[in-house]
Amino acid sequence: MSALLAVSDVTAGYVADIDILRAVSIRVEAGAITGLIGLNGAGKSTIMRTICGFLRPQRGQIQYNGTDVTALAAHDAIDLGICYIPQESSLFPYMSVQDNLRLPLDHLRRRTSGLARRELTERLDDLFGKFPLLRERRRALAGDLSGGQQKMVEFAKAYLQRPRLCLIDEPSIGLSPKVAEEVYGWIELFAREHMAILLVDHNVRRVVKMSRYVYVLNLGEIVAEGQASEFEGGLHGHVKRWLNINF
Amino acid sequence: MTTVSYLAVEQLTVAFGGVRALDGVNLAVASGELVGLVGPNGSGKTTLVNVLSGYLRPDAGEARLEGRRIDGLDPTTLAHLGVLRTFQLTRVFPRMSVLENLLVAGCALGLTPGAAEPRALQLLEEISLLRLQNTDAGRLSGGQAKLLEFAACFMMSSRITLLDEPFAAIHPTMKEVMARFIRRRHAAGQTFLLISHDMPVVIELCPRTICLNAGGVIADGETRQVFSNPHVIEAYLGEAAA
Repeated sequence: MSALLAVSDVTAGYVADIDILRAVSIRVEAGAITGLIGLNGAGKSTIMRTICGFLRPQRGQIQYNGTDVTALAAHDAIDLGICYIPQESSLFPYMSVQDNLRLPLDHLRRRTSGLARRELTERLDDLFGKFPLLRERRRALAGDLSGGQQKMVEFAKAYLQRPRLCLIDEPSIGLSPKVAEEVYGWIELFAREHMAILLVDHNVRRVVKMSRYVYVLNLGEIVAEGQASEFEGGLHGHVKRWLNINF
Repeated sequence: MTTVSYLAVEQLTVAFGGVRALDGVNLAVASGELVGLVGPNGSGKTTLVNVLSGYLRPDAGEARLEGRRIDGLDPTTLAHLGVLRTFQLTRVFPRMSVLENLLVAGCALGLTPGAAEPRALQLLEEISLLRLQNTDAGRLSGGQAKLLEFAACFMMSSRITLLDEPFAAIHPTMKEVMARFIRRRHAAGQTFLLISHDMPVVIELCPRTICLNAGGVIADGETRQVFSNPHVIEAYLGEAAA
């Protein structure tokens, strides 16, 4: 199947002599969840930042929808239908929930002629149907919401943009198990709406369960990949290999 | 046989909002031990080091060093007591030379400049940075800066050195320099708590390892036994098996 996103032989890092990613190649299919797992420090978030244009690779190429986006400026990603939900909050804490939600839409309305005011209102109405709590809290300052509610705003903001590709970095970290379950539910909602998702989460079992295809990143290199079903059952062995435990 | 705990942590609890980063942690380290501290992301390793080095006050429980309560003391007091640490994110004084960075560390810990300099030069030789002694620290590579910060920890003889991911994102050659240094100091009787995701190094360096998960100790013992423990492997999967 053709990939919506193809990262090919990408080497990237933050300082001159340290490559965080070393010749990394991954593909994300349209309309499917692709999982990316690995230990802390493996480079998972760095891949996402590189795809979004926050970090320019030293070598390699990134193709999105058949176009070279290797030198993409981060602020242009939204126009291409690429959305990034980072691990940390990307909300403006002193703006209301509603204003936070409208920001990307206002941008899209200015940049693309296709998004009419009426459609914008329809998307918001549809959103409040799917996330009813946000209708109640729409006038609250984003910074006054709980961690789980802020994560909901992040997902809602992404959903409003109707991205073709959504990069989701550690969505459940720091959340209670109950809220984490809700978060996984939103990811499944995105997948049902045929968004391509690159999912990073420390909950390896969950990533394997939700994904169609899985990559394992270790110290900046892809060390294993395959259909998610190939990883089920033998996860302990995989973890030992990722940890370089040979006994 | 009863051994006196050099470092003793009892029921240590730290909560951030509703999340308990440390949830009643108990552990003990004997004098001269080199103990690995491992666990998945978010398991509480750095939080524990932050409490032991005075950067966080625990919500409950206590930590003692040679019988003296150390939880709640500020970082400067703890440094003077010989509790020294490194950070995951390296911080050096970029406009001071490599040598001056170490002199600052030594003088801040009570050495005179005259006493600090030979010690600093000796350390720079040990970590292979002597030829860069007059270079501004801001011009070092990431790995070299990490080595420099690491060396600053050894400007005074410490009672316990807490190393937080010292091997992360450094060149293998520098990693070997650092590992050799730790091995030598350990052989000389120095006490370490070493956080690392680099399991081969932990296995090679640390006779004993403690594994944290979700703010609690899930394994504590001989390093190879800890890494053979299915609960430890399970912790790295992030969710209990159904």
